[in-house]
Amino acid sequence: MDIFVSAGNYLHDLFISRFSAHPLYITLSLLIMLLCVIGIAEVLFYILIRRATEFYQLKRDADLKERIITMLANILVFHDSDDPGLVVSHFIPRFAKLPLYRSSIRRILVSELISNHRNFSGRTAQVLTELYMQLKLDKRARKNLHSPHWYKQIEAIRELTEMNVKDECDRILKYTNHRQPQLRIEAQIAFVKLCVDNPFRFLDIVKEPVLDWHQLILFEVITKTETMARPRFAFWLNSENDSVVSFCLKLIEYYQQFDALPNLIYLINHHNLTIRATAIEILGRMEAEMAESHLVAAFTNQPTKIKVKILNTLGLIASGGCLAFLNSHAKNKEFPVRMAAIRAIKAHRQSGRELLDTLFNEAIAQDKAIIKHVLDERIKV
Amino acid sequence: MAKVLVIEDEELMIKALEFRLKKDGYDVQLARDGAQGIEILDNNTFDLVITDIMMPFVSGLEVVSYIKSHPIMKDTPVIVLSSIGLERVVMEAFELGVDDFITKPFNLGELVIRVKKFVRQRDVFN
Repeated sequence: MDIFVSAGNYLHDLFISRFSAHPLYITLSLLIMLLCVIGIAEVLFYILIRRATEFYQLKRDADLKERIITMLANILVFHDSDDPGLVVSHFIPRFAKLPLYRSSIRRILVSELISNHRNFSGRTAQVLTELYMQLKLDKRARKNLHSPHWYKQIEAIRELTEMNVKDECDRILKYTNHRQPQLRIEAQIAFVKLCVDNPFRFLDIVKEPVLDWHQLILFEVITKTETMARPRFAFWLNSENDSVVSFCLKLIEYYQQFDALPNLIYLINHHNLTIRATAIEILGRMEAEMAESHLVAAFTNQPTKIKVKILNTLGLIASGGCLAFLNSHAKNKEFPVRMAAIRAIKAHRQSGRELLDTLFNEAIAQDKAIIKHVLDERIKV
Repeated sequence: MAKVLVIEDEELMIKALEFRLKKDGYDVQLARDGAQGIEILDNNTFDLVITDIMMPFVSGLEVVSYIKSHPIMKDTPVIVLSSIGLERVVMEAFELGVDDFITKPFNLGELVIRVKKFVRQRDVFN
């Protein structure tokens, strides 16, 4: 206790009794020290108040969250047979009592609605969407859709997509060609999910590339959404955007759209080598016999990589109509072409085997080695 | 009154299941994670267990494995709730002896029908 008394006396002496007697620099130093102490005390007091307020708010929000969850659970199990609109109207007065003017409460409600919309289907999901709309919780997302910040636009797109708000399709369509790749893919996914009548309309306007990882994500969304209308993807095979063509090729193969084969044949001479190679490969996997003559006709002017693809495709089709052509390339100067031609002949089963036997008898040592290699069943390609 | 244990970590999901099953006359007990579920299972017997797969601490698969390897509980039917894209985990759950699974998003009404089916089967069996 004595120590506090003596400290108090010392401070009184220093700042009051002898204050005017100090030289100027001591007086200034004392004033600065005093200001610093007051400043630190104020900061500490501010932090204390801030933490107390935050703690109180968190506790209040946690209580409200609990209340919101109970209210939502009640609405979800209320009369199965009733129309979702009627059910929600019945509960709206209770939800209206929530302090929805506070952004934190609105955020809690929206995040619960979104995460549970993902978990439930059928009537339960409809009730959640109806509640979202009737409480006008979509207002913020719609506003953010026009925000100059792409991350806010993404957040808004995700929210509207999850809550199945279809009337913003046109606005979302504009973003499907945005230069920001992340916003672009979010908009494309949203458009595919929301615009059920014509989910691929965005492919008409996309000038920006549909990147490989975008294609993967879109492919997953498209193939897992069972209710989606699948158009004739050949429609976009003459798009000026090569990534759109490449994406549609994958979809054509996945959905086995055989009516697209004439359009695929047209791509044998596409300016982009990757598309050309993919189209040729797909023709083979779809066993497009009608493409054989076109592949043979296009063969001569192709680079080696494409020549090999054509020969592989002829091997996959293996109709027997091109054996003479394959035979002529079994002695090609380019080694990969020669190898691919011999493999394609082997793929023709009995007739191919007979031709290879004849070739083997006439071949020089190196060609004999190639034929033996191809015929060796232990070697898988 | 048939006793059902629901093990699920999402608050609204567990509440919705609780309210819905109670409405249909079931005696419902809740566990917020697998560890809590196993603790409850050790002290009670149930006619049916509904468990989520992805949960903190102890996963749904571990709960299934615990139930199906337990000498007394092994005949208790188990329904697992799994998210879409977890098909491999569902296969694993079937290998462990799970009786049925529902993929999220699911219809609450459909789950209740399945619960009724298992409880009825158990009544007949008993």
